[in-house]
Amino acid sequence: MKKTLFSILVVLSIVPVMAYAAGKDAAKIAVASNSKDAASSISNKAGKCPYYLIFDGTGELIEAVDNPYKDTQRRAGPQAADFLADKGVTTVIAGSFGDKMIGAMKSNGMEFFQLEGVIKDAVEKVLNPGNQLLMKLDRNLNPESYESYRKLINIETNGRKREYVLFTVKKGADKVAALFLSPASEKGRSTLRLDENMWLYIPNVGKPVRITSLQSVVGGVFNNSDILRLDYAAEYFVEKMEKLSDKYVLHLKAKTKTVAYDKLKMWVDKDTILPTRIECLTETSMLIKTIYFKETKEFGDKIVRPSVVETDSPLHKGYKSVMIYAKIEKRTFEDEVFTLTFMPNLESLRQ
Amino acid sequence: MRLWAILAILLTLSYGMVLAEEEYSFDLSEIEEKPLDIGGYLEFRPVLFRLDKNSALHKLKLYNRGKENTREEYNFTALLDGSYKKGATEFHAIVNTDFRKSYLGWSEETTLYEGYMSLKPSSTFNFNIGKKTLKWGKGYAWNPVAFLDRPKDPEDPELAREGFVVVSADYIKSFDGPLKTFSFTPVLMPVYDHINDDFGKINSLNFAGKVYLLLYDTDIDFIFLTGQSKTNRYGMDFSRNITSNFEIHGELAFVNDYKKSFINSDGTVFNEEYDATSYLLGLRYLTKSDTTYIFEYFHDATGFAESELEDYFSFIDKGYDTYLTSGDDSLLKKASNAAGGDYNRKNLMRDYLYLRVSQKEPFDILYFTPSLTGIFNMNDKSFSIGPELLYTGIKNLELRLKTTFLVGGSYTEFGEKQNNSRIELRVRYYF
Repeated sequence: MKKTLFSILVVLSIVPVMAYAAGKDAAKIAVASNSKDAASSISNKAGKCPYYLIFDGTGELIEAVDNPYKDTQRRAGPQAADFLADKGVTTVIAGSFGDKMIGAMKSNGMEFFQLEGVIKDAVEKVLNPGNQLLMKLDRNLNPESYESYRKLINIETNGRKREYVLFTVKKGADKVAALFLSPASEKGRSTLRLDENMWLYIPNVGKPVRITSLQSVVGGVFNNSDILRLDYAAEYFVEKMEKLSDKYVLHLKAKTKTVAYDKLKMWVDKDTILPTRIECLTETSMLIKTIYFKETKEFGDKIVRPSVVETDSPLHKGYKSVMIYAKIEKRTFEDEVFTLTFMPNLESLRQ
Repeated sequence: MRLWAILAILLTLSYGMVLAEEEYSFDLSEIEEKPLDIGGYLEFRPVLFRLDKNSALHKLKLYNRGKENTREEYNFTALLDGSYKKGATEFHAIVNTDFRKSYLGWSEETTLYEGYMSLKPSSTFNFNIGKKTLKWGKGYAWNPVAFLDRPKDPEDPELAREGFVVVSADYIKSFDGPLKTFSFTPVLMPVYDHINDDFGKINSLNFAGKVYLLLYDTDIDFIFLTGQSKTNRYGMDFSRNITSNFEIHGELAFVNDYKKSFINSDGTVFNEEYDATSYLLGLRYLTKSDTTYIFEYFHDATGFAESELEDYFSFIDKGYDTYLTSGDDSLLKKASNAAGGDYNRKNLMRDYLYLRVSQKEPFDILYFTPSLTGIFNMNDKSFSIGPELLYTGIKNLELRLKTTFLVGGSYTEFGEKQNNSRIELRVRYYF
């Protein structure tokens, strides 16, 4: 009996390690470089660098290839992305990326990291188990595609509250839309985020207008990117992971300049792999706001996550904003739902 | 005494608990989907005008009225917005009723802003028939490519909410790669007696369309209108975020054989026909301290030249002098009806700058947004400037206090408007 139990335990502990190792082996990382030396610095020309150094999932340099598009005048970035995808590269690291190359990498399902410094250090950073943890945390918070109902409450210093109810739909890593159901003054407003593009539709205005992620459509402490949040792993990578007795502390850095916060410091519960607190910081580590995750509850279909998300900010002293989740359900949507043209029709998705 | 104190503490605690409970309550009945949905707002809007008795438009419109320095107007509005959904079909109507008390007495006007049926069989296709606004274009104050919309007032762009009777559809397709979205919106617009007869020449079925692309994170529209009611017109617009706090947009519109009528200082009406190319460039910028700047430059090739407008004002002056000396207002009436209403446009000339600066929640006052809007006529150097205070801190209530000052020399656009300034309060309650 003991032997059987021991064998089961051994198998159970080996399987995830093997799976993780297999996952790592499947990873292939290309780094933009000015030389063939892994100790040199990362090139800041993602599409027009002279070489790409290709590493395997264990961090071993396996190949240094010439970039056939280094002298190409037009569309070097997208062509380089396709070239790397053909070589089986899953992740690209460079000092900076053009929009067109980012688009091509996304189409090829590749990850990318904008990093500076020594190449081999950057590869280690990307292979950091913290990034794997962050992806797991994202899936624990919500399914990749879902619909949810949230109430947003802004609480003023005198205790006066303002409530908004939102219907939200999300698909994949970069598509999310929200529709205001109440109060009457906001009813029918909707916001859409497609990667870093954001729009606001106000029925009185009659057409969607482009907005910026730093604006807030509701006032209060939550801004647009808090309300239309994408997966953390889609926007940030883990620079450093600390292990405390019952928590991990992840130090996250934004992948691109267009992400709303430059840095996040995230406290993660070790047992549940769910966030308990996040500090949103500027590049100089100035605190913009703190987000607290509370009251973990089961939403059905194996979704167990905090039902209350509170936030306060030293920039809005005494004010607090709270987000309450009433319903989260897995649901798939057509991509066309997440388009500017569909925005006035979001209400038709409610069942 | 102690008992009172304990009771007070208990009451405070229980109140606090109720508050805490309320804070986190979210009743599922709040999100229930109802087939019939009715909302809207009630509005009270008193306006005080300070009249410029020497201005051309005061002479033209109020020459036979009293000689008061100010004029009051009281507006009461009820807007009803209702929809009914059954399966993939939706009926939607917006009805607006205005009651106005002005120097002309009481008046009432009820308008169907929108009233249409939508079929939404899938997220890639929808079909609409009825009275509907289309609101094409990316500009905030002006939209030269909004070929099927009523002109909007740059001082209050949200006011133009009445649509036209159209048959339209949307076909939407998403892709991976640089082109993320493609959509096509074809529109049929009948112009006959009692149907859209204020749009253009009657007895014609007009066809318009818009192709929308989200290409390299840039919104791009290609737009056209063809038919007998108006001359052919084509246009395009774009909008793009440069950084997380900076957006740029623009519009370009070609109007074939645009017909313009204008009057000279003797009262002779001239007609001119030419191809007009209008364009707009704009930006929206948000600072770290939550100040939003909206800035636009608009070149309107359909507008009047400086000399044409001067001639018009000069003719009004002549008509007014004739009226004063002989009591004969025929010249003023001629000026009033001249040029087929072209002189009633919101902006008359060709080159304008628009700037709106708004500050979100200054001094930590939540839901309070002061702003300043300026429109500058680059051709005659006249301008309007309007400070505005908006407060939305009370649930479903919107309070707006707005002042507009019109500044300009003689024979300039803003200098010859009938008011020097106006102040209005708008109290709007949503239900």
